[in-house]
Amino acid sequence: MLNVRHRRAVKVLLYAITLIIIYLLQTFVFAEIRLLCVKPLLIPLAVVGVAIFEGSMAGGVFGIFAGMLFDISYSQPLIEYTILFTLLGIVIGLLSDYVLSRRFPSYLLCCVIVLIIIAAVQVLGMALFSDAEMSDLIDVAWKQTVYSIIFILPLYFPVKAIGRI
Amino acid sequence: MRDFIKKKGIWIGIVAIVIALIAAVSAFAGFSNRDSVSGAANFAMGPFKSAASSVVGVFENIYSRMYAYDKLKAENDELKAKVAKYENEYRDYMELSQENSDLKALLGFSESHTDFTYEPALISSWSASNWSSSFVINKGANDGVELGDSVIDKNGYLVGRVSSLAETNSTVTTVVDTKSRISAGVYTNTDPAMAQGDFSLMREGKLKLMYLPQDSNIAREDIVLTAGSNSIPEGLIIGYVEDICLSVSGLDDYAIIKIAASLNGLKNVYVITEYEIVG
Repeated sequence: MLNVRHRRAVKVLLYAITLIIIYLLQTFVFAEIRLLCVKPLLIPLAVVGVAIFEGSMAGGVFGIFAGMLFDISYSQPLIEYTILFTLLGIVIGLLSDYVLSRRFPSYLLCCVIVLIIIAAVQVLGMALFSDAEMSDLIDVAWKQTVYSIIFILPLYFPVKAIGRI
Repeated sequence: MRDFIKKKGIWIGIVAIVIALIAAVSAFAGFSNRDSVSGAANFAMGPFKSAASSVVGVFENIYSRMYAYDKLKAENDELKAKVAKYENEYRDYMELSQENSDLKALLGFSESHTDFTYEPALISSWSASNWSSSFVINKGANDGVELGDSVIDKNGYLVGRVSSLAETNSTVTTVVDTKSRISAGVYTNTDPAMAQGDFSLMREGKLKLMYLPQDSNIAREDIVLTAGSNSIPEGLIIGYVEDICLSVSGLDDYAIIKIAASLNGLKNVYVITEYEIVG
């Protein structure tokens, strides 16, 4: 039987490995497998999972590293999504600590909300800093959200299994 | 002696008679060239011989299979190693063949641009973003790459420009990205225009040619080239005019350009690190 410290170390290691695998899947595998001409977002779903099962502190820390990898996968400076995912991890963690149950319906709801928030941030950025038509931006945003929703259930089980260690 | 003969006499007699018969038959066989005794013995022993022969055959079969199995396995392992070696050599050959083909194509382009210095690079990964079009290459500042350097494919078609630089890798923003702005012109017309990325056209591999001169005679299939500046050489092919969109005022006319480079499946690119500025 593992004592508390060992269990925590094992959890950290498993979450790190999971994050790297999800990053590789998002950047190298599913970047080539497009549906509706868009690529899915996997890393935010992992942030939601860790925040739901581990709370605000772990969610925030995981969000920092997940955000950094997300920025790297987007070939941009480590700022935008590093900050965003850290905040999302903390907020969802707080909700999980005090309001939400640590079960699939909460995970599903938070994932959908996070995907919509990320899409909204991206649409706003493009609308402000490019000449893109809003209809085109919204078209990509909803397709990206729908494609990413497919991965909510497959990512739920490994994150839940690690959370229960 | 008398007791011995009384007890065993009859058996001695029987043995003597058998021996006499055998001798007689042998003598007869010797005269007639027919070995009936051996034949009879063989006939009598036939079934036993067959059985023994079958048993021996089974063991011989097992042994030869065991011996042959080891021999076949060794041969199979040796052949597998040879196949693996040939597969590796074939892969190397295909890579070299592709590289040779790319370099031959680039040679054709470079013969008309003898002032260009190239740094070949491999695309490490494409951006996972749905909102931009960029990729990372495995060459950076240590290899002479600088911010703004033009990146072309093997045919000399413009792919993009270096937008972010690290020591050993760089990010290249493609010409169809919304942030891309390149001074360009149509081959048949010297008036400059601006080739810029458009979000709605980006995923189709197209961009817009804006700020067309009012009296430009631009037509479909016209080649669009870079106009040249301090940071981008002149004469690089961007693409071909696919459509022309005219406005009522004539001030917002633009053309849709289909890029010449194929971004799908692109692996090898070339960074133009040095060139002579004309004019």
